[in-house]
Amino acid sequence: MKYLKVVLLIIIVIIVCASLASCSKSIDWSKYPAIPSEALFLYNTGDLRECVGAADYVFVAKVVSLDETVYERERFNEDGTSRMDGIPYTHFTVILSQNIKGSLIIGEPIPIVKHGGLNQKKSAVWYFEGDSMPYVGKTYVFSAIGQKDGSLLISGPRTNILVEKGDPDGVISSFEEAYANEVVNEELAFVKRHISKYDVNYEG
Amino acid sequence: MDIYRCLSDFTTDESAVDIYDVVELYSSDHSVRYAGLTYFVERKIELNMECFEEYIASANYNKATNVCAHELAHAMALSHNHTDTTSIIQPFATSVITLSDTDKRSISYVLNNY
Repeated sequence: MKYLKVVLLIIIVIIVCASLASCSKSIDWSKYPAIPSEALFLYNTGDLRECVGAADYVFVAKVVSLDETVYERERFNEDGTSRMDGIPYTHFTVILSQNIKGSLIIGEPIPIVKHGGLNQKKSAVWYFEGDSMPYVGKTYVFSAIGQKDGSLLISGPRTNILVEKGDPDGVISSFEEAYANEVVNEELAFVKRHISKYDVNYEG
Repeated sequence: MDIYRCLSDFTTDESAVDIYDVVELYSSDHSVRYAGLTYFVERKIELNMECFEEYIASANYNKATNVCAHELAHAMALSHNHTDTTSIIQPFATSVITLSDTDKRSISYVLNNY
């Protein structure tokens, strides 16, 4: 009986340690070569007013953890071997401090998904040309697209802009100004907009 | 008109890539803000079918074809011309596909660093 208790205790300790390790993991993106990818965006990514207009939510948030990288749409050969790597989607948890566009929950951990991350071979980091990957512990202005399932996707150039302590570069105010003068490109007219389940107005 | 018919106009010679290996039709997984996307290393292109179907429904075949051709050209290692406009699908841009094989900065960068 005593032996069983010791074994159970060891298992619990291992699980707790593994959980803590997964919560605190971080990736230094600068250590990896970059694989930029080109996209034909439906708005002018060089115009911050259009970037804000393309997003459903724009907010200031601190990244508290990098949770996992999910690889989607991997292709397989007939024998089951991989033919093409999957596309990385990196899952983070963030805590909002301010909404600029939209009304997401402030002060509570919410998950976001970044379109990009380490490739499946763990040899390089993939993201859009003109984009970057967020770091755990840093604060950013995020521009998110609400998804059909209520999740938040961060996809495209300039969708996470670093905010230094005290915001000496005026990043937040530049986004606030862009939102005040928001431009929705006419190419986005047919795009379906979805409300996030982390929106304070979400009704399920 | 369908997307493969669009693409087949650009892949008629024997040296052309197999479009079924390159093209990935994409519509339902994620809501995104781009019409097409090229994964340089995998030489795979992803087309936003919500967008493509809208172009077809509004009889904007030129725009649909341009998106296909533009991304397919990237998959075949062509990069943007220095004079390329921000986007071929914007109303103010010309409908000419401004790609050049003389400027392969992006694909060279990828292949040198991958």
